[in-house]
Amino acid sequence: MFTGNDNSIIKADPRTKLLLLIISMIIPLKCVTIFPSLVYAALLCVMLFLEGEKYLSVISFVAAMIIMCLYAGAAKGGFGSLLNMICMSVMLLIRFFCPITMALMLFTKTTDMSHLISSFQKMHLPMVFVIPFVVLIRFIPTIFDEWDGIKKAMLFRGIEFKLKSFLTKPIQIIEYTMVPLLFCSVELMDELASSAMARGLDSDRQRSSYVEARLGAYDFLVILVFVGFLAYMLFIYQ
Amino acid sequence: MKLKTKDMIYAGAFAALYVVAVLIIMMLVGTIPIIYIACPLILGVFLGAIYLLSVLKVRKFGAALLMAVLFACIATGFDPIAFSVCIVSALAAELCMALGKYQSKKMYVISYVFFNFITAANFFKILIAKDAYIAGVRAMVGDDFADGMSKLVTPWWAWIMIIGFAIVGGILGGLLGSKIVKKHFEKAGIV
Repeated sequence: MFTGNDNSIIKADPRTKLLLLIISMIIPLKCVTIFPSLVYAALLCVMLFLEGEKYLSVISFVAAMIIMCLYAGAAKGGFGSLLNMICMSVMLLIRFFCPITMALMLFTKTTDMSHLISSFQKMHLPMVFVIPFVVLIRFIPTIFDEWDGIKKAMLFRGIEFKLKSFLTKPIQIIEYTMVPLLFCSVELMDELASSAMARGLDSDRQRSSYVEARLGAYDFLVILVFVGFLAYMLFIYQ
Repeated sequence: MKLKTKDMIYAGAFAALYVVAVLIIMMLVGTIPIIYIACPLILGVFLGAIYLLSVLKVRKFGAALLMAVLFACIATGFDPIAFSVCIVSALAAELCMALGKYQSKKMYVISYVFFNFITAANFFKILIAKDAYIAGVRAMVGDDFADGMSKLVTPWWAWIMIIGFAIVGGILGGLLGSKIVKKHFEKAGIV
């Protein structure tokens, strides 16, 4: 996550990818039929391919196809019983999050951290927002790693993180999972803070960067295609 | 008292912890859709320790607000209603802490009751923009589903249930969190 990759054909600016992420949040609300959603998924997969995630693009396109077709099949049936309602709402949720997940993958897998910070600075966002945001997205995978370790350690002590133990002994679960998680992340935070001090993140001067974020012709082309698609969708489904 | 870089890093990292904990608990709870509606209560009880540790570590204006803004950026999908619910509840929490002059333990616990409304932000979005939500569902899935859904979100007790869950979760989580912080983190000298 946020390490970037070298085998990309064309590199888009992080700002372009952020815009795609926001468009992908609007599209599922507006596209109610299957065909435009599939076209949008295909566009995102082409972006993924050009950015160098070749296997991922193919896999995610096949997954999107399967999800959309299953959804279309399920929507043809009735919604009589309660069980149908529940299944339908789950399907709806999966379909809704499909483009968002793909745009998120595009954003996280093909952007590196220094690029991201420099493009945030170009956007003139205040540092009081940029630093916590960057720390947040850098920290999430670390916490998942720690969480796996804690879950295994808890299993040795006979506390399983399952719904049953969650209902029978909630206080123990809270204490025995949250406290180690908090302890090890506080330690990590201290290390991160001192490394940020060493990089001079807290100085008042204008920061310079090795990589410079710049919007090129390719970025404008991508923005044009995606915004055009969104505008067309808004025009059709008013 | 302005936030320093170190405080910003703490705020971002605790927000990451908060988001991950929400994800883990939702994955567990999501296996049974019926208790999904009680998730302000469940999340509130679980996440009290994280919130209290973060505000007690920073002890300045902005810790809770930054956490709420970052949570809203990730979890609400930039929906205007849910986003403003997050910001208003975080501002109320900040006001509570400022009234306690960032020293009083009691005010920190009370502030969590307000802060816990951000876990209910997505429910507020559905309840406030009810007609738009149901129209969207109707266009996307069909009439039967939309009618069933509108029976679920229309009655007045839906409001009371969500707000009640949020408040009870806030109180329980605040008390439990302050106990955990006192038992483990004050002795270790972290707070």
